[in-house]
Amino acid sequence: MLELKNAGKRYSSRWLFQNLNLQVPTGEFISILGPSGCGKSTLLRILAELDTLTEGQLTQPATTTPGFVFQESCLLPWLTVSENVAIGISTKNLTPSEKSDQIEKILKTVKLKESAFLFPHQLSGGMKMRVSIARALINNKSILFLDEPFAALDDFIRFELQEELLEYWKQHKMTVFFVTHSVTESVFLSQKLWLFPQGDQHQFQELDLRKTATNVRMYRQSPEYFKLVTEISDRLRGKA
Amino acid sequence: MKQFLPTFILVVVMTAFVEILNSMGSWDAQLIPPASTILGTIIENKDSFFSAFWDTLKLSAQSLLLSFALGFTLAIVFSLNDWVKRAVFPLAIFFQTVPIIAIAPLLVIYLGYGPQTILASAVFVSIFPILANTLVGLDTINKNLLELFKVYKRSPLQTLIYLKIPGSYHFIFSGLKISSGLAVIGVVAGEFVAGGGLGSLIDTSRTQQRIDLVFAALIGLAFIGLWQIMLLNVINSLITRWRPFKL
Repeated sequence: MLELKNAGKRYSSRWLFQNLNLQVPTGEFISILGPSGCGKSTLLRILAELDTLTEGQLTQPATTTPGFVFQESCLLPWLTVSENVAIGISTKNLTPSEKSDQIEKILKTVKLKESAFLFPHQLSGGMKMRVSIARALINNKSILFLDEPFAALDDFIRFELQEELLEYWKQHKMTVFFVTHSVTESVFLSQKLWLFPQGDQHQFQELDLRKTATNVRMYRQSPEYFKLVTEISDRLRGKA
Repeated sequence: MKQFLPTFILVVVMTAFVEILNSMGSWDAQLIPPASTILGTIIENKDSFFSAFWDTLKLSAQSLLLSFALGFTLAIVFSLNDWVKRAVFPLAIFFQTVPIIAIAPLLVIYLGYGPQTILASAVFVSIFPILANTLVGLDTINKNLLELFKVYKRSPLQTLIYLKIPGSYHFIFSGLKISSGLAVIGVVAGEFVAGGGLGSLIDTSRTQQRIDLVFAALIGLAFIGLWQIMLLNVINSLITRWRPFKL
């Protein structure tokens, strides 16, 4: 279990959040939602241990293998797709054949098996993001941090990647922290929401979505989805 | 090669123009000798000229390699240790501002006459662009990529080898290209005081008022500079064809 105790983060005199007490059981899909500049990416970076808390404490599970996806695909241009994905392998003592098996398997999952030997400049934006996701997923990661990974993609690719990510999470049940400013994206993907409502960032809210639908593709058309989107939009605007 | 065509045409036209004016008696060949005279001088003094040309070419290439090895290594040390960087880098900037022609006589006193002084002079001049450019490259790697390596628990050495050095490729290569021209200048400055090569040929020709030999030596130096740049461009295109380095 990951735990935040009395957590607070301050930049100069401004507190982004304070007195956060959160417990995250393994295998949850949590979206961190809020307007630009509210501190959601900072919170994600703290959880990934790329930044530190001003006050309070973060406790990570004893053994974590994290994966991280940025808004940009962040691929190394001089490496092929396979080599870029291999960066995500954090387990030591793997034989070359074990490594290549893992790479092949994950590239198949993200539908890039045929592009294994291409360089990033030969890929489309969607394909680059798939490589970035594959790099984060490879090696059976126990915890995944995603910082607005689909924000720069068009709707068609975004929906496709959202569905694939959700399917993958349902199969592997790793803990996911997904930063987004899109209400629809957060409702579609997550089981739980961490909200930073507009205007009053200290009023952090945690919401359990308690979704009942099982069909990923049809969920966007369901009344439950629309109801949740409306409710969360109202909460973000401070109306609820 | 197409990009050099206008320059080539301009040089051919200017050379032909000077030749025509010279044949009409309207050109002072004592001040700027025409190409035919320079070519004749080179053929006439081919043994001494090509020996000097070879010496300068060899020392220029050697000093460029040495500058690369030293500049690159120093940049790596600086990037790994901020204290060393803050202690030494300002001194490197200070020495960069001292003209080599003022330092060269000191080098002769310390190292004596010979290639070692010329090499030292050329390295002194040409090391800085490689050092400075490599440092800029190593220090300006995309923050997200650095964090990515941190998330995947890569050591500082792994981050240096697999991210920072390849990510600095274009900066390093730009520094190398600037240094290749400076290496020729440093070699000539060294040869002026330590003897040998085209620098010494220019110096002795000057005292004998042999303008034609001075021009022959200048053309030789231009060829050395061009050859080095062309060789670096070929190496660069081979490397970037193998791996598309850019960040």
